[in-house]
Amino acid sequence: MQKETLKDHEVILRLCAEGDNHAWARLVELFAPLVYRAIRQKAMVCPASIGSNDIEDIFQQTFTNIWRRKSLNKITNARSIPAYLTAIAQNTALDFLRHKTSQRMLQKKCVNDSLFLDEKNPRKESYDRQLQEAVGRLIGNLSEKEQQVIRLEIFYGLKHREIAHMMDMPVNTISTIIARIKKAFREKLEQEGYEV
Amino acid sequence: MKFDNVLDSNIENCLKQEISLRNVSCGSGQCPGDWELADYISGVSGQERKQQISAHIMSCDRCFDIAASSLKVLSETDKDNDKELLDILVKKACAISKKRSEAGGKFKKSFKRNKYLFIAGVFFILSFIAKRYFLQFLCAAGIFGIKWTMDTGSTRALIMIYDAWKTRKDDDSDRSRSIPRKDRNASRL
Repeated sequence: MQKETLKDHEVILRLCAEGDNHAWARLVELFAPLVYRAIRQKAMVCPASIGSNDIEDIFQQTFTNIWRRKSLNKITNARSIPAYLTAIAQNTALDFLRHKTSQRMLQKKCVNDSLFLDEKNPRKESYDRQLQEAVGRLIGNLSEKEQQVIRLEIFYGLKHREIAHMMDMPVNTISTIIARIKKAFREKLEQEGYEV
Repeated sequence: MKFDNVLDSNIENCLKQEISLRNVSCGSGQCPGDWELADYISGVSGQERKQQISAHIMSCDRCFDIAASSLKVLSETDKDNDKELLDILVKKACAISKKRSEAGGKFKKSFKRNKYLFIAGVFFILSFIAKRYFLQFLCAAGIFGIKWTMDTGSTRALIMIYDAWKTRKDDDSDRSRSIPRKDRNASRL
């Protein structure tokens, strides 16, 4: 059953490449939730730069890009179709971000998003700022590979199995690296007098 | 548990600052193709290619971000999607292909509308190529040029506007002739 569905998807994609309107409508219907989710995920990372209206624009642009691309019929494996569409959605969202906001503006906005701004309690705000700086220093001391593992685990929220797939490493190694980093971070922050 | 949450949120915020800058930077130019990356994300690429892409991803922020975000999205479910908004978006996206085919139709229509201009152009060029029949071809080009001018919608519209204006002007002059001078002055006042 699963194989049949995948085959159907492949046929739909090939028909789309030939300009078939019905196949296109079916493709949109099938994969719209996935593309929407991919764009919304990007919007959640930097909410100050991608608003709800922007999500609609990016969604539309993503499907326009898919329609325009000549690579639709270069499909190698039907199982890759969702990943292909997600990747294009992510690409479109990244292009949108690049066009919409200059790097400096984006930095400013994201920093503001991320900081624990608490105007009622300036002491807490200062403490949070210092804690974050300390964490930033600790991350900076990690090796490139460790930084990527921790980024995938905490920032992207990937499972250890998925990180292992991306890093081309065994799952146990990934789990060990993450546990070791967190333990080291906790010890160092406690030594510096932070309550974590 | 509490510790993990506080530490994780701090790490996440630090990474946000760093990644927000990296995300907007462009790829290295040696990035894998769309399908190659999709195969890698889906875990269907060959071992050798997988190692190559994995090595590339570790050095390319854009591909790293796309691969990581895609893995996350693919592992999620649809439960939080806004159905109504999605329906509207789907309808709009379905129209993309129609618009494109309509764009092709527009070109055909435009060609059909300007066929006389095209023929006039051909005759004009021919008049220079076949010098012996220069005058004949030039005349033909002129005739088709005039035909195109008369046939074009905008010219027809201009003629109609001119006709309407002329008729109105005639009506006004007739009316002014039929009203006596005294009455005309009274109506002005």
